[in-house]
Amino acid sequence: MKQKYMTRLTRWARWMLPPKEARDVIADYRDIVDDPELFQNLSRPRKAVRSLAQTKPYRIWLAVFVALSACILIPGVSPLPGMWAFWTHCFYLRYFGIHIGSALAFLGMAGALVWFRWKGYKEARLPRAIPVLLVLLLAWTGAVLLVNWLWMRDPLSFSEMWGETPLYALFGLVRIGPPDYTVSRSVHMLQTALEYGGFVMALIGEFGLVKARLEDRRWIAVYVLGMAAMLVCMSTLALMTSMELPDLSAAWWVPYLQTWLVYAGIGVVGAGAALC
Amino acid sequence: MLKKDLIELCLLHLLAQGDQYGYELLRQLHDTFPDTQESAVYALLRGLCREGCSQQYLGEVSDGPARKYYRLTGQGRDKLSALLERWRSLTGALARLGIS
Repeated sequence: MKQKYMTRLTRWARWMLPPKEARDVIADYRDIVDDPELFQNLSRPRKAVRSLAQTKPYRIWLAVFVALSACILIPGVSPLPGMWAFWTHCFYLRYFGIHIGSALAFLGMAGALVWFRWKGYKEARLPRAIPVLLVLLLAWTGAVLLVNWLWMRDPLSFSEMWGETPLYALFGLVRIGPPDYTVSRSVHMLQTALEYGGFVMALIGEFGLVKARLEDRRWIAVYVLGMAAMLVCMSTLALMTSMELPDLSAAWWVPYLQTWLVYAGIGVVGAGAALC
Repeated sequence: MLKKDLIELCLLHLLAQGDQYGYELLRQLHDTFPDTQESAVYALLRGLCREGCSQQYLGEVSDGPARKYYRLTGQGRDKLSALLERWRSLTGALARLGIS
């Protein structure tokens, strides 16, 4: 009972209070809950912490959280069914020569690194789940880059790899085209993997953001790398679905691959900075 | 004088006797204000800390984990004097009405 109370109080305190204040309150409550009489008279953890929270710093944190979440979730959900408006503005149209989705991602990475370096709380030991998730994100990004290299080097062979499927069989997933059209199964699978994979990467990044506030600021490495992994997926999708014809030289794909490698590199460097 | 002021007066008075940690303060106030939730009393204690009336520091203990103690500051002493003054004038006014 006491353990459960302290777990909840710790979470609420770290969510609603500035790090130093949260540390002091948690230390005081550890003594208070040990007294059965006082413990009986305590209000619920959320109410107890709410009475301690100052409105202005808490609202600033909520505004930062909403902004950082928007930076990862808006591009992350944009290729999903029904999100065409987000996709158009994030990755289809360019504003001042740049995709809004990429700009949001870099803004989110920089903002998260600065905010948590300034206001974050660091435990003595690195939580075990962080390296596991970082390896998972790196593996996914590496796999996407490898497949990208394969299909860009030889698009026709890639297209024919798993044959063709009548589009009507995929109707609902692809959402377009009359029933007698066919679509390359390999390309369709890659597109679907990028759409949903990018979305999952964004969700993992968002999870890292929440954990960075609740547990340890180094969780922001997961947010940064999740953002980079999502960005690589979305940029690939943007190229695959673009109506603009690329330059038709043999090595047309090299600048694209270089850009995605830079995105992944920024993610790795950012994650490294977050872990320090 | 509100109940909040009375609790603050008690907290400042207890701290004027010597540095104490949060639990000790709450324990002593528990019997005086049994119908007040401990969380509310604790929120007032933290409020005094934020206002600069008290400071928190990590105390040295011979056994067990180190505890965070609260100490009264100069500003806290001023507030204690002001609250005591109000309390005395209130009890004086009540006494003049025949309420003892």
